Amino acid sequence: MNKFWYPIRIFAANVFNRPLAAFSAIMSLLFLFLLVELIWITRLTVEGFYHQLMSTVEMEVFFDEAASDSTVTAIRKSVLDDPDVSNLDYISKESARLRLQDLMGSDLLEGLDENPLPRSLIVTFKNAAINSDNLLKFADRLSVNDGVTEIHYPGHWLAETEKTLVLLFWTALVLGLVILVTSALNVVHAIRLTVRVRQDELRQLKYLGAGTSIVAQPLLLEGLFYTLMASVISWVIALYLQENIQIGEIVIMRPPTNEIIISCLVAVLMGMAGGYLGVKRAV
Amino acid sequence: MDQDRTILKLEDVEYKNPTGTVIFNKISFSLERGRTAVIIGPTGAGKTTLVELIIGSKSPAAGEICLFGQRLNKCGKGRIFKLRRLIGGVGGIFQLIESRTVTENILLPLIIRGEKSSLQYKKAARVMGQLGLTGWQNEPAWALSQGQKNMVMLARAVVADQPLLLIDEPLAGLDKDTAQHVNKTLQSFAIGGHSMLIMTSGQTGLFIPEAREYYLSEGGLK
Repeated sequence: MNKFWYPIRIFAANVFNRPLAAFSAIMSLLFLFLLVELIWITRLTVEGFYHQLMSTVEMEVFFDEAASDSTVTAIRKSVLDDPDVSNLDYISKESARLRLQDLMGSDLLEGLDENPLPRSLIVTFKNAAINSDNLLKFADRLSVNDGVTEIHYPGHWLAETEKTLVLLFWTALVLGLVILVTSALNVVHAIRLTVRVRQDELRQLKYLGAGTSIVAQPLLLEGLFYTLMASVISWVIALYLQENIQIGEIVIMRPPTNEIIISCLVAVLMGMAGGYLGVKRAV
Repeated sequence: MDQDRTILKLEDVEYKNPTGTVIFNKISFSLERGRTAVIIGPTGAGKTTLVELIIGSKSPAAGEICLFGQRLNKCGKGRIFKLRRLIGGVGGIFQLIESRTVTENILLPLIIRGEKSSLQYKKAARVMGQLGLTGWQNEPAWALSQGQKNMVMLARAVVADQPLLLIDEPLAGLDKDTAQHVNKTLQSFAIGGHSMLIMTSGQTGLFIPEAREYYLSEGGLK
Protein backbone atom coordinates (compact mmCIF):
# COMPACT_ATOMS: atom_id res chain seq x y z
CA MET A 1 0.00 0.00 0.00
CA ASN A 2 1.62 3.27 -1.03
CA LYS A 3 1.06 6.85 0.03
CA PHE A 4 -1.53 7.27 -2.72
CA TRP A 5 -3.74 4.32 -1.81
CA TYR A 6 -3.33 4.58 1.94
CA PRO A 7 -5.48 7.75 2.39
CA ILE A 8 -8.13 6.32 0.05
CA ARG A 9 -8.22 3.06 1.94
CA ILE A 10 -8.43 4.80 5.31
CA PHE A 11 -11.10 7.17 4.02
CA ALA A 12 -13.14 4.21 2.75
CA ALA A 13 -12.67 2.41 6.06
CA ASN A 14 -13.77 5.54 7.97
CA VAL A 15 -16.95 5.81 5.93
CA PHE A 16 -17.85 2.12 5.84
CA ASN A 17 -16.93 1.40 9.45
CA ARG A 18 -19.24 4.16 10.63
CA PRO A 19 -22.04 4.03 8.07
CA LEU A 20 -24.60 5.72 10.29
CA ALA A 21 -22.34 8.71 10.97
CA ALA A 22 -21.57 9.00 7.25
CA PHE A 23 -25.24 8.64 6.36
CA SER A 24 -26.34 11.35 8.80
CA ALA A 25 -23.56 13.70 7.64
CA ILE A 26 -24.63 13.21 4.02
CA MET A 27 -28.33 13.57 4.83
CA SER A 28 -27.95 16.80 6.79
CA LEU A 29 -25.86 18.29 3.95
CA LEU A 30 -28.27 16.92 1.37
CA PHE A 31 -31.23 18.73 2.94
CA LEU A 32 -29.28 21.97 3.19
CA PHE A 33 -28.13 21.74 -0.43
CA LEU A 34 -31.66 20.83 -1.54
CA LEU A 35 -32.90 23.96 0.20
CA VAL A 36 -30.34 26.09 -1.69
CA GLU A 37 -31.29 24.43 -4.97
CA LEU A 38 -35.02 24.90 -4.38
CA ILE A 39 -34.41 28.58 -3.61
CA TRP A 40 -32.34 28.81 -6.79
CA ILE A 41 -35.06 27.13 -8.88
CA THR A 42 -37.74 29.30 -7.26
CA ARG A 43 -35.81 32.46 -8.09
CA LEU A 44 -35.34 31.36 -11.70
CA THR A 45 -39.00 30.38 -11.96
CA VAL A 46 -40.18 33.72 -10.58
CA GLU A 47 -37.86 35.52 -13.00
CA GLY A 48 -39.15 33.37 -15.85
CA PHE A 49 -42.72 34.09 -14.88
CA TYR A 50 -41.88 37.81 -14.65
CA HIS A 51 -40.51 37.76 -18.21
CA GLN A 52 -43.56 35.80 -19.34
CA LEU A 53 -45.75 38.53 -17.86
CA MET A 54 -43.56 41.26 -19.33
CA SER A 55 -44.17 39.93 -22.82
CA THR A 56 -47.82 40.90 -22.33
CA VAL A 57 -47.05 44.47 -21.26
CA GLU A 58 -48.41 46.96 -23.74
CA MET A 59 -48.33 50.73 -23.98
CA GLU A 60 -51.37 52.45 -25.43
CA VAL A 61 -50.83 55.89 -26.99
CA PHE A 62 -53.97 57.95 -27.66
CA PHE A 63 -54.18 60.72 -30.22
CA ASP A 64 -56.00 63.99 -30.14
CA GLU A 65 -59.06 64.24 -32.36
CA ALA A 66 -57.48 67.23 -34.05
CA ALA A 67 -54.19 65.51 -34.84
CA SER A 68 -53.66 65.21 -38.55
CA ASP A 69 -53.06 61.87 -40.23
CA SER A 70 -49.57 63.00 -41.21
CA THR A 71 -48.73 63.70 -37.55
CA VAL A 72 -50.00 60.27 -36.53
CA THR A 73 -48.04 58.65 -39.34
CA ALA A 74 -44.87 60.48 -38.30
CA ILE A 75 -45.31 59.33 -34.70
CA ARG A 76 -46.00 55.74 -35.86
CA LYS A 77 -42.80 55.84 -37.89
CA SER A 78 -40.71 57.19 -35.03
CA VAL A 79 -42.10 54.51 -32.66
CA LEU A 80 -41.45 51.74 -35.16
CA ASP A 81 -37.87 52.95 -35.58
CA ASP A 82 -37.22 52.61 -31.85
CA PRO A 83 -34.97 49.55 -31.30
CA ASP A 84 -36.84 48.60 -28.09
CA VAL A 85 -40.17 48.23 -29.87
CA SER A 86 -41.10 44.77 -31.03
CA ASN A 87 -44.53 45.46 -32.48
CA LEU A 88 -46.88 48.31 -33.21
CA ASP A 89 -50.60 48.18 -33.91
CA TYR A 90 -52.47 51.20 -35.17
CA ILE A 91 -56.05 51.36 -33.94
CA SER A 92 -58.20 53.59 -36.09
CA LYS A 93 -61.45 55.07 -34.79
CA GLU A 94 -63.39 52.30 -36.53
CA SER A 95 -61.11 49.57 -35.16
CA ALA A 96 -61.54 51.09 -31.70
CA ARG A 97 -65.30 50.87 -32.10
CA LEU A 98 -65.07 47.20 -33.15
CA ARG A 99 -62.76 46.41 -30.24
CA LEU A 100 -65.21 48.01 -27.83
CA GLN A 101 -68.01 46.05 -29.42
CA ASP A 102 -66.06 42.82 -29.01
CA LEU A 103 -65.32 43.70 -25.42
CA MET A 104 -68.83 44.66 -24.40
CA GLY A 105 -70.76 42.26 -26.60
CA SER A 106 -72.94 45.03 -28.14
CA ASP A 107 -72.38 48.27 -29.97
CA LEU A 108 -72.61 50.91 -27.24
CA LEU A 109 -72.07 53.68 -29.73
CA GLU A 110 -75.15 52.85 -31.79
CA GLY A 111 -77.28 55.93 -32.18
CA LEU A 112 -74.43 58.38 -31.78
CA ASP A 113 -73.79 60.70 -34.71
CA GLU A 114 -70.04 60.52 -34.33
CA ASN A 115 -67.60 57.89 -33.09
CA PRO A 116 -66.05 59.52 -29.97
CA LEU A 117 -63.30 56.92 -29.61
CA PRO A 118 -59.79 58.23 -30.26
CA ARG A 119 -57.20 56.79 -32.60
CA SER A 120 -54.40 54.99 -30.78
CA LEU A 121 -51.23 52.97 -31.06
CA ILE A 122 -50.63 49.75 -29.14
CA VAL A 123 -46.91 49.33 -28.60
CA THR A 124 -45.29 46.11 -27.44
CA PHE A 125 -41.65 45.96 -26.45
CA LYS A 126 -38.78 43.56 -26.66
CA ASN A 127 -38.46 41.63 -23.37
CA ALA A 128 -35.01 42.98 -22.60
CA ALA A 129 -36.28 46.53 -22.88
CA ILE A 130 -39.17 46.14 -20.49
CA ASN A 131 -38.50 47.84 -17.21
CA SER A 132 -40.17 50.74 -15.46
CA ASP A 133 -37.33 53.18 -16.22
CA ASN A 134 -37.21 52.41 -19.94
CA LEU A 135 -40.96 52.57 -20.38
CA LEU A 136 -41.18 55.83 -18.44
CA LYS A 137 -38.50 57.40 -20.68
CA PHE A 138 -40.26 56.06 -23.75
CA ALA A 139 -43.60 57.48 -22.59
CA ASP A 140 -41.97 60.84 -21.79
CA ARG A 141 -40.46 60.99 -25.27
CA LEU A 142 -43.82 60.26 -26.88
CA SER A 143 -45.84 62.60 -24.72
CA VAL A 144 -43.96 65.67 -25.98
CA ASN A 145 -45.29 65.04 -29.48
CA ASP A 146 -48.17 67.25 -30.58
CA GLY A 147 -51.28 65.22 -31.05
CA VAL A 148 -50.58 62.70 -28.23
CA THR A 149 -53.14 63.12 -25.49
CA GLU A 150 -52.69 60.16 -23.17
CA ILE A 151 -50.31 57.27 -22.67
CA HIS A 152 -51.40 54.24 -20.68
CA TYR A 153 -49.16 51.41 -19.46
CA PRO A 154 -48.87 49.50 -16.16
CA GLY A 155 -45.95 51.62 -14.90
CA HIS A 156 -46.78 51.43 -11.20
CA TRP A 157 -47.34 47.67 -11.32
CA LEU A 158 -44.06 47.28 -13.20
CA ALA A 159 -42.12 49.31 -10.60
CA GLU A 160 -43.63 47.31 -7.73
CA THR A 161 -42.90 44.00 -9.46
CA GLU A 162 -39.31 45.07 -10.03
CA LYS A 163 -38.93 45.91 -6.33
CA THR A 164 -40.36 42.50 -5.44
CA LEU A 165 -37.89 40.85 -7.80
CA VAL A 166 -34.94 42.70 -6.26
CA LEU A 167 -36.17 41.72 -2.80
CA LEU A 168 -36.50 38.12 -3.93
CA PHE A 169 -32.99 38.19 -5.44
CA TRP A 170 -31.38 39.46 -2.23
CA THR A 171 -33.45 37.14 -0.04
CA ALA A 172 -32.40 34.17 -2.17
CA LEU A 173 -28.77 35.29 -2.13
CA VAL A 174 -28.63 35.84 1.63
CA LEU A 175 -30.54 32.63 2.35
CA GLY A 176 -28.29 30.73 -0.04
CA LEU A 177 -25.15 32.10 1.59
CA VAL A 178 -26.44 31.41 5.11
CA ILE A 179 -27.27 27.84 4.13
CA LEU A 180 -23.89 27.37 2.46
CA VAL A 181 -22.09 28.65 5.57
CA THR A 182 -24.25 26.28 7.65
CA SER A 183 -23.28 23.46 5.29
CA ALA A 184 -19.60 24.32 5.65
CA LEU A 185 -19.96 24.31 9.45
CA ASN A 186 -21.73 21.00 9.13
CA VAL A 187 -18.76 19.53 7.27
CA VAL A 188 -16.34 20.98 9.83
CA HIS A 189 -18.43 19.42 12.58
CA ALA A 190 -18.63 16.04 10.83
CA ILE A 191 -14.87 15.96 10.32
CA ARG A 192 -14.19 17.12 13.88
CA LEU A 193 -16.37 14.27 15.04
CA THR A 194 -14.33 11.85 12.95
CA VAL A 195 -11.13 13.36 14.32
CA ARG A 196 -12.47 12.96 17.86
CA VAL A 197 -13.40 9.34 17.21
CA ARG A 198 -10.01 8.64 15.67
CA GLN A 199 -7.98 10.82 18.05
CA ASP A 200 -5.81 7.95 19.33
CA GLU A 201 -5.14 6.70 15.84
CA LEU A 202 -4.14 10.15 14.55
CA ARG A 203 -1.88 10.63 17.57
CA GLN A 204 -0.16 7.31 16.88
CA LEU A 205 0.32 8.23 13.23
CA LYS A 206 1.94 11.49 14.27
CA TYR A 207 4.19 9.71 16.78
CA LEU A 208 5.28 7.38 13.98
CA GLY A 209 6.22 10.39 11.88
CA ALA A 210 3.22 10.66 9.57
CA GLY A 211 3.24 14.12 8.05
CA THR A 212 0.28 16.43 7.72
CA SER A 213 -0.69 15.08 4.33
CA ILE A 214 -0.97 11.45 5.33
CA VAL A 215 -3.00 12.33 8.45
CA ALA A 216 -5.20 14.94 6.78
CA GLN A 217 -5.82 13.37 3.36
CA PRO A 218 -8.35 10.72 4.44
CA LEU A 219 -10.29 13.39 6.34
CA LEU A 220 -10.21 15.82 3.42
CA LEU A 221 -11.46 12.99 1.21
CA GLU A 222 -14.22 12.36 3.72
CA GLY A 223 -15.33 16.01 3.55
CA LEU A 224 -15.15 15.88 -0.23
CA PHE A 225 -17.15 12.64 -0.35
CA TYR A 226 -19.92 13.92 1.95
CA THR A 227 -20.41 17.15 -0.01
CA LEU A 228 -20.13 15.50 -3.43
CA MET A 229 -22.69 12.83 -2.52
CA ALA A 230 -25.00 15.38 -0.90
CA SER A 231 -24.81 17.83 -3.82
CA VAL A 232 -25.29 15.18 -6.52
CA ILE A 233 -28.21 13.46 -4.76
CA SER A 234 -29.85 16.78 -3.87
CA TRP A 235 -29.64 17.88 -7.54
CA VAL A 236 -31.19 14.61 -8.65
CA ILE A 237 -34.09 15.24 -6.24
CA ALA A 238 -34.39 18.92 -7.18
CA LEU A 239 -34.42 18.17 -10.91
CA TYR A 240 -36.94 15.36 -10.41
CA LEU A 241 -39.21 17.80 -8.59
CA GLN A 242 -38.63 20.44 -11.29
CA GLU A 243 -39.67 17.95 -13.99
CA ASN A 244 -42.71 16.60 -12.19
CA ILE A 245 -44.28 19.54 -10.41
CA GLN A 246 -46.79 21.66 -12.27
CA ILE A 247 -48.13 24.94 -10.88
CA GLY A 248 -50.80 26.26 -13.23
CA GLU A 249 -49.22 27.85 -16.27
CA ILE A 250 -46.01 28.70 -14.50
CA VAL A 251 -43.02 27.04 -16.09
CA ILE A 252 -40.69 25.66 -13.39
CA MET A 253 -37.24 26.68 -14.55
CA ARG A 254 -34.20 24.42 -14.58
CA PRO A 255 -30.77 25.94 -13.92
CA PRO A 256 -28.29 25.49 -16.80
CA THR A 257 -26.31 22.23 -16.64
CA ASN A 258 -22.94 24.02 -16.47
CA GLU A 259 -24.16 25.98 -13.42
CA ILE A 260 -25.30 22.73 -11.79
CA ILE A 261 -21.84 21.24 -12.37
CA ILE A 262 -20.19 24.40 -11.01
CA SER A 263 -22.41 24.24 -7.91
CA CYS A 264 -21.32 20.63 -7.34
CA LEU A 265 -17.67 21.69 -7.67
CA VAL A 266 -18.24 24.56 -5.23
CA ALA A 267 -19.80 22.06 -2.82
CA VAL A 268 -16.76 19.79 -3.19
CA LEU A 269 -14.38 22.69 -2.55
CA MET A 270 -16.47 23.64 0.45
CA GLY A 271 -16.24 20.05 1.67
CA MET A 272 -12.47 20.05 1.34
CA ALA A 273 -12.20 23.44 3.06
CA GLY A 274 -14.53 22.19 5.80
CA GLY A 275 -12.47 19.03 6.05
CA TYR A 276 -9.30 21.08 6.35
CA LEU A 277 -10.78 23.29 9.08
CA GLY A 278 -12.07 20.20 10.84
CA VAL A 279 -8.72 18.45 10.77
CA LYS A 280 -6.49 21.53 11.21
CA ARG A 281 -6.10 21.19 14.94
CA ALA A 282 -5.50 17.48 14.75
CA VAL A 283 -2.52 17.86 12.43
CA MET B 1 33.62 10.79 14.86
CA ASP B 2 32.06 10.79 18.30
CA GLN B 3 29.32 13.02 16.93
CA ASP B 4 28.50 10.37 14.31
CA ARG B 5 28.16 7.64 16.89
CA THR B 6 25.88 9.65 19.16
CA ILE B 7 22.31 9.31 18.01
CA LEU B 8 20.66 10.93 21.00
CA LYS B 9 22.05 13.65 23.21
CA LEU B 10 20.35 15.65 25.96
CA GLU B 11 22.23 18.64 27.35
CA ASP B 12 21.08 20.43 30.53
CA VAL B 13 17.47 19.76 29.68
CA GLU B 14 14.92 21.39 31.92
CA TYR B 15 11.22 20.72 31.81
CA LYS B 16 8.33 21.94 33.91
CA ASN B 17 4.81 20.64 33.59
CA PRO B 18 1.98 23.13 32.88
CA THR B 19 1.37 23.63 36.63
CA GLY B 20 5.00 24.67 37.09
CA THR B 21 6.28 21.51 38.80
CA VAL B 22 9.88 20.80 37.81
CA ILE B 23 10.10 17.40 36.09
CA PHE B 24 13.67 17.61 34.80
CA ASN B 25 16.32 19.85 36.24
CA LYS B 26 19.28 20.14 33.88
CA ILE B 27 19.51 16.50 32.89
CA SER B 28 22.19 15.40 30.45
CA PHE B 29 22.44 12.07 28.72
CA SER B 30 23.67 10.54 25.50
CA LEU B 31 23.15 7.30 23.64
CA GLU B 32 25.59 5.91 21.11
CA ARG B 33 24.66 3.94 18.06
CA GLY B 34 24.23 0.22 18.77
CA ARG B 35 24.05 0.73 22.54
CA THR B 36 21.22 0.23 24.99
CA ALA B 37 20.40 2.46 27.93
CA VAL B 38 17.83 1.67 30.57
CA ILE B 39 16.29 4.56 32.47
CA ILE B 40 14.84 3.44 35.75
CA GLY B 41 12.44 5.64 37.63
CA PRO B 42 9.35 5.34 39.77
CA THR B 43 5.90 6.16 38.44
CA GLY B 44 5.59 9.91 37.88
CA ALA B 45 9.35 10.44 37.63
CA GLY B 46 8.98 11.65 34.04
CA LYS B 47 9.90 8.62 31.91
CA THR B 48 7.06 9.16 29.47
CA THR B 49 7.74 12.92 29.43
CA LEU B 50 11.32 12.12 28.46
CA VAL B 51 10.05 10.08 25.51
CA GLU B 52 7.78 12.96 24.50
CA LEU B 53 10.73 15.38 24.65
CA ILE B 54 12.87 13.05 22.54
CA ILE B 55 10.26 12.75 19.80
CA GLY B 56 9.64 16.50 19.85
CA SER B 57 6.02 16.41 20.92
CA LYS B 58 7.00 18.49 23.95
CA SER B 59 9.67 21.17 24.14
CA PRO B 60 12.12 21.63 27.00
CA ALA B 61 12.07 24.88 28.98
CA ALA B 62 15.85 25.04 28.65
CA GLY B 63 18.67 22.92 27.33
CA GLU B 64 19.05 21.11 24.07
CA ILE B 65 18.06 17.76 22.62
CA CYS B 66 19.97 16.43 19.62
CA LEU B 67 18.44 13.53 17.73
CA PHE B 68 20.47 11.97 14.93
CA GLY B 69 22.66 15.08 15.01
CA GLN B 70 19.72 17.48 14.62
CA ARG B 71 18.86 20.02 17.29
CA LEU B 72 15.16 19.57 17.89
CA ASN B 73 14.62 23.20 18.89
CA LYS B 74 15.94 24.24 15.46
CA CYS B 75 13.75 21.74 13.59
CA GLY B 76 10.47 22.60 11.95
CA LYS B 77 7.42 20.38 12.15
CA GLY B 78 8.25 18.60 8.90
CA ARG B 79 11.81 17.79 10.00
CA ILE B 80 10.56 16.48 13.36
CA PHE B 81 8.11 14.17 11.56
CA LYS B 82 11.00 12.88 9.43
CA LEU B 83 13.14 12.26 12.53
CA ARG B 84 10.27 10.36 14.16
CA ARG B 85 10.29 7.96 11.22
CA LEU B 86 13.74 6.87 12.40
CA ILE B 87 12.36 5.90 15.80
CA GLY B 88 10.58 2.70 16.68
CA GLY B 89 8.32 3.25 19.66
CA VAL B 90 6.94 0.64 22.02
CA GLY B 91 4.62 1.20 24.98
CA GLY B 92 3.82 4.39 26.87
CA ILE B 93 2.68 6.95 24.34
CA PHE B 94 3.33 4.48 21.51
CA GLN B 95 0.39 2.14 21.15
CA LEU B 96 -1.19 0.05 18.44
CA ILE B 97 -4.10 1.36 16.42
CA GLU B 98 -6.78 -0.84 17.90
CA SER B 99 -9.08 -0.87 14.89
CA ARG B 100 -6.34 -2.13 12.55
CA THR B 101 -5.04 -5.65 12.10
CA VAL B 102 -1.59 -6.79 13.21
CA THR B 103 -0.24 -6.55 9.65
CA GLU B 104 -1.73 -3.11 9.10
CA ASN B 105 -0.12 -1.86 12.31
CA ILE B 106 3.25 -3.31 11.38
CA LEU B 107 3.04 -1.85 7.88
CA LEU B 108 2.47 1.72 9.12
CA PRO B 109 6.13 2.84 9.46
CA LEU B 110 6.80 1.49 5.96
CA ILE B 111 3.80 3.29 4.48
CA ILE B 112 4.75 6.51 6.24
CA ARG B 113 8.32 6.25 4.94
CA GLY B 114 6.98 5.72 1.44
CA GLU B 115 8.53 2.26 1.07
CA LYS B 116 7.75 0.44 -2.19
CA SER B 117 4.49 -1.51 -1.89
CA SER B 118 6.13 -4.70 -3.12
CA LEU B 119 8.69 -4.56 -0.31
CA GLN B 120 6.29 -3.64 2.46
CA TYR B 121 4.63 -7.03 2.84
CA LYS B 122 7.96 -8.87 2.48
CA LYS B 123 9.52 -6.83 5.29
CA ALA B 124 6.44 -7.18 7.50
CA ALA B 125 6.32 -10.94 6.92
CA ARG B 126 10.03 -11.28 7.70
CA VAL B 127 9.70 -9.39 11.01
CA MET B 128 6.53 -11.25 11.96
CA GLY B 129 8.33 -14.51 11.29
CA GLN B 130 11.32 -13.45 13.40
CA LEU B 131 9.13 -12.44 16.35
CA GLY B 132 6.78 -15.39 16.14
CA LEU B 133 3.78 -13.38 15.06
CA THR B 134 2.97 -15.53 12.05
CA GLY B 135 -0.65 -16.61 12.25
CA TRP B 136 -1.81 -13.37 13.85
CA GLN B 137 -1.56 -11.27 10.72
CA ASN B 138 -5.26 -10.67 10.35
CA GLU B 139 -6.11 -10.36 14.03
CA PRO B 140 -7.41 -6.92 14.97
CA ALA B 141 -5.16 -5.23 17.54
CA TRP B 142 -8.01 -4.90 20.04
CA ALA B 143 -8.29 -8.67 20.22
CA LEU B 144 -4.68 -9.17 21.35
CA SER B 145 -3.41 -9.67 24.89
CA GLN B 146 -1.00 -7.10 26.34
CA GLY B 147 1.97 -9.41 25.71
CA GLN B 148 0.92 -9.94 22.10
CA LYS B 149 0.46 -6.20 21.68
CA ASN B 150 3.98 -5.59 22.97
CA MET B 151 5.38 -8.08 20.50
CA VAL B 152 3.47 -6.46 17.63
CA MET B 153 4.75 -3.03 18.74
CA LEU B 154 8.28 -4.44 18.78
CA ALA B 155 7.75 -5.72 15.25
CA ARG B 156 6.46 -2.32 14.20
CA ALA B 157 9.46 -0.69 15.88
CA VAL B 158 12.02 -2.61 13.80
CA VAL B 159 10.20 -3.31 10.54
CA ALA B 160 11.57 -0.21 8.83
CA ASP B 161 15.06 -0.72 10.29
CA GLN B 162 14.53 2.22 12.61
CA PRO B 163 17.93 3.18 14.07
CA LEU B 164 16.55 4.03 17.53
CA LEU B 165 14.01 2.19 19.65
CA LEU B 166 12.21 4.01 22.46
CA ILE B 167 10.64 1.44 24.71
CA ASP B 168 8.46 2.42 27.64
CA GLU B 169 7.72 -0.21 30.31
CA PRO B 170 8.04 -3.21 27.99
CA LEU B 171 7.23 -5.80 30.63
CA ALA B 172 4.54 -4.00 32.61
CA GLY B 173 1.39 -6.02 33.11
CA LEU B 174 2.79 -9.21 31.57
CA ASP B 175 2.76 -12.67 33.11
CA LYS B 176 6.14 -14.30 33.82
CA ASP B 177 6.35 -16.36 30.62
CA THR B 178 5.31 -13.52 28.33
CA ALA B 179 7.64 -11.11 30.14
CA GLN B 180 10.48 -13.56 29.58
CA HIS B 181 9.62 -13.82 25.90
CA VAL B 182 9.58 -10.04 25.48
CA ASN B 183 12.81 -9.72 27.49
CA LYS B 184 14.52 -12.29 25.26
CA THR B 185 13.36 -10.38 22.19
CA LEU B 186 14.83 -7.16 23.59
CA GLN B 187 18.07 -8.99 24.38
CA SER B 188 18.23 -10.25 20.81
CA PHE B 189 17.66 -6.69 19.56
CA ALA B 190 20.52 -5.48 21.78
CA ILE B 191 22.81 -8.21 20.51
CA GLY B 192 21.69 -7.44 16.96
CA GLY B 193 23.05 -3.91 17.32
CA HIS B 194 19.82 -1.97 17.76
CA SER B 195 20.12 1.29 19.70
CA MET B 196 17.56 1.18 22.46
CA LEU B 197 16.41 3.51 25.17
CA ILE B 198 14.26 1.58 27.60
CA MET B 199 12.18 3.19 30.34
CA THR B 200 11.22 1.04 33.26
CA SER B 201 10.08 1.37 36.84
CA GLY B 202 12.59 -1.33 37.73
CA GLN B 203 9.97 -3.66 39.18
CA THR B 204 9.59 -5.86 36.14
CA GLY B 205 12.74 -7.97 36.03
CA LEU B 206 14.05 -6.49 32.81
CA PHE B 207 17.60 -7.55 32.00
CA ILE B 208 19.57 -6.38 29.00
CA PRO B 209 23.27 -7.33 29.06
CA GLU B 210 25.75 -4.48 28.67
CA ALA B 211 23.01 -1.89 28.99
CA ARG B 212 23.90 1.30 30.79
CA GLU B 213 21.51 2.06 33.61
CA TYR B 214 20.37 5.53 34.67
CA TYR B 215 18.16 6.45 37.57
CA LEU B 216 15.58 9.13 37.19
CA SER B 217 14.37 10.75 40.39
CA GLU B 218 13.57 14.17 41.76
CA GLY B 219 14.22 15.85 38.46
CA GLY B 220 17.71 14.45 38.03
CA LEU B 221 19.26 11.63 36.03
CA LYS B 222 22.15 9.68 37.55
